[in-house]
Amino acid sequence: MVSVDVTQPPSLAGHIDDLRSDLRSLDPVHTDAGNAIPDAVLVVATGVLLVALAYARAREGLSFAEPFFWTGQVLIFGFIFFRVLSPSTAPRDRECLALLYAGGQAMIRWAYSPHMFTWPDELQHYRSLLNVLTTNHLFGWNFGLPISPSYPGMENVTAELAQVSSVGPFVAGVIIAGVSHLLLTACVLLLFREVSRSSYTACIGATLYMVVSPQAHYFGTSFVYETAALPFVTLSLFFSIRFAIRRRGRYQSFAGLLACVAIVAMTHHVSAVATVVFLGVLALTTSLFRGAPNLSRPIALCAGSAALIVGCWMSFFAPMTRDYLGNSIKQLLSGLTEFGAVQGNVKDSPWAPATPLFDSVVNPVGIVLTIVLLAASVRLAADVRFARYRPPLERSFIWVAFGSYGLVMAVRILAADGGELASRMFAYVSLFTALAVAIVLERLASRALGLRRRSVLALSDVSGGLVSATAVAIVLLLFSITIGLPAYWQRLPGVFWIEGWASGIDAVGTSRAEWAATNLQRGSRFFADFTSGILLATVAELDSIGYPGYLYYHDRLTPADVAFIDTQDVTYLDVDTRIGVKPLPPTGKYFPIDVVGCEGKFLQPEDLVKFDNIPGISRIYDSGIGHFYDLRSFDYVRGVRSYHES
Amino acid sequence: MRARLCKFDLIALAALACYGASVLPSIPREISNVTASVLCFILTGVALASAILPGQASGTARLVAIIACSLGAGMVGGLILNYIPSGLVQSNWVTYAAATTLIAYVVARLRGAGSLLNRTRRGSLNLTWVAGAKLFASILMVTATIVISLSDRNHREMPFTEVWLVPDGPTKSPVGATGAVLGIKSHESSNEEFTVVMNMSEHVTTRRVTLAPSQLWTKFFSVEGKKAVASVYRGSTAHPPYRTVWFVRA
Repeated sequence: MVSVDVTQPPSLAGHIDDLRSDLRSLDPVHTDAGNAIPDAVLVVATGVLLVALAYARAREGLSFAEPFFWTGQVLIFGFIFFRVLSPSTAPRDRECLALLYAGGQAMIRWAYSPHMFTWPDELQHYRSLLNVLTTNHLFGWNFGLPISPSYPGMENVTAELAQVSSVGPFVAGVIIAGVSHLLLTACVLLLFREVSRSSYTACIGATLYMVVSPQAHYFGTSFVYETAALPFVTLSLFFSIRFAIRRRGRYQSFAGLLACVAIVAMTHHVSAVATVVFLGVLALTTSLFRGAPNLSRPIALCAGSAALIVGCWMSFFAPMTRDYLGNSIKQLLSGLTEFGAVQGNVKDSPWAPATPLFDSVVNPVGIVLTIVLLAASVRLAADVRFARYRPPLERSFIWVAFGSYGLVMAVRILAADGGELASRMFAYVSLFTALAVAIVLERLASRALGLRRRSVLALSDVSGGLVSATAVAIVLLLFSITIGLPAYWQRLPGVFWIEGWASGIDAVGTSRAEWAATNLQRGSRFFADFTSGILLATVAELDSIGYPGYLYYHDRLTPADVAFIDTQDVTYLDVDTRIGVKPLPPTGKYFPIDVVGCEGKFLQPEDLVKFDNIPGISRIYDSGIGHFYDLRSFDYVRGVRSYHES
Repeated sequence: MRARLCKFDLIALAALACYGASVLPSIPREISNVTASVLCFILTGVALASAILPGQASGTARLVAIIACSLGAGMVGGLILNYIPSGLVQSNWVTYAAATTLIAYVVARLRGAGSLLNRTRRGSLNLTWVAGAKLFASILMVTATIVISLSDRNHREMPFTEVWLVPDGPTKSPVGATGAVLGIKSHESSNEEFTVVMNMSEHVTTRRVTLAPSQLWTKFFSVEGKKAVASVYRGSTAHPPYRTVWFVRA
């Protein structure tokens, strides 16, 4: 059992900066470039090189890719986190270290797919970007993700970079995503400093945020609208807290809040809603604590103003958001009502490759560790002695962290598509959990937890608090990588997985999509499997039909299939023959929306070749692997036949 | 009132210079791209950040302000430019950035940004040769990372060849098509010789095509009869066709 000493940590007291009311640290200003930073740059560069080597070896099918990957990741984070915790590191260096880690993450993300965007979400936003660059106007139509053009924030600034600098759209997208990730880390640093009134805690929290949030490694540095919106979500929280806490410059803070919320509103719908929700929750939580109630009213005012801005954007510029988010909420609610019957990604699909032993061990350990750390933070927040010297807002953050983490875990376990939903929610929730965990690790580092000799964390007494805290943080890193994207079966690139998200995109698919972009009419409706549908919709601007019925599930075309085709106003049909010879994809489904009862059913090669033998169907494309059919002549032939019969 | 020039005034001067270099047609494209990027992403960010934070602020706060303003200006700018008929084009971006920078400069100056900037004394950077060597080694490693990542291709991908027969006409419909484009794109690992047999009911034509990796070959055919079939053989026609495409006209 861990007992927590809630008095101020003694050994690091000097490193918990005394911040004056104007937030200027009393620490001496260090410009000591000869110490922490060059070492850290060298270690991060080495780690990034190791991970890039791992990716290169994986693509070439060579051995030792996994060891390179893990060594690189642990080396970068372990060194950075240890130096951030270390009392000998200057405050300014700590901030640089946190930013350096974010930069390393962005570079690793780029090295995963250095030639083109391969994640489906990225491809969808890439289409929106190309539309802006082609038409020079916003709000065009995107067949891959129709809601994307209604939130053009990220595409605007990427188009600006591509147009003024003449770098390609892919490079521009990578740069904007990387810079946004760096900005997010700096914003988290500011937010945590404002909440904790300690630069030391803030630096630990900001570094931990990139680990506690499983999205930060990959998705959070990808070309998706969350990446561009998250820094401004964080700034919105920062400005609302400043508005609530400080008398000086509070109207500037309020103006800053409005500007940031406006940018979030025009960039990403979920982030916009999350901003309003978190401000509301923060207002509610602060009203419950002694010393904090005077904050709740101004934060509630900020929440109301944010809601107004978000509501205006959704009403006037993005009216389809209501349906889009409404469907997701419906799915979530239906998942929750089917308690236990619906599985999230916690349970892998039975056709996925076996979960590695390492992941199987780290996953439960990570969950337990996170819960223990959050529980320890709550124990601190509930103690009167802790409340005496820590800001009341910090306690509010801890309570929000505990509650929101519990909610995310419930969604992950209980809701349909809970895994994906939960991993997306982590990006926002981690703004709170990272600080809560940072407070506990800060105390662990200073050995101020008052651990008993038989404590499960007795390691701190053996090898020093810094090492213990770093070791705990490294376990959180490993946990984060194992539960975050990309999943274990595509953690290293190179192996093709049919319908396997990024690993399902290869030269065969992209080449077919490029051919369709050149040769077929834009907006034509088509049937395809998940990956081909994404590629053809985003690259060729064809209109994918997400639900193909039983069309692919028989070895002959039934009258019901023909009737189904007639109702869909469909022009083309795409067949990737690999789905008939490879086992079911790791994702467990071939199509975006599968027929009820057919989930998990194997497709056989004869189910796919049947289209070659149906009179009237034209096969206009053949790559040996992919076939593309035109169904208009099929309609025509049937029409002529029925005319003669009548 | 006596106006005093300070370092901060260089922002406005640089913005004007960059704007001029970006829009003048006589300036080479490479230079105008650089100046336009500096104007849109650095000067705009710095000027806006100075308008927001005219006083002293921590390094992180200033960094956040500069990057957030730079990105935010682009995000909002796209929305504004969308209402101009020419829309989001380079000339509009640089004009918008120049206007934003100059307005922000005036606001920052009115809020006393320049004087504070002048008063700020920054500590000197003590870079020892050991630290310099470490940074140099880091640059080499980052360069190696970039080279390894860019030069690396997926060696597990199988070679293949694409063949297509697309009807002409605006809707590319096979029904009643009078012509079609037959295309071949090789993704094989070496030069490949193909025999193309185009069969249209009573009319058959044969061609030989040699394609290098990534090479494209297209040919327009007039089509007749009920069905047009193109078979592509690898080498001679003795083997089964390598690829077959067709469409039904009627």
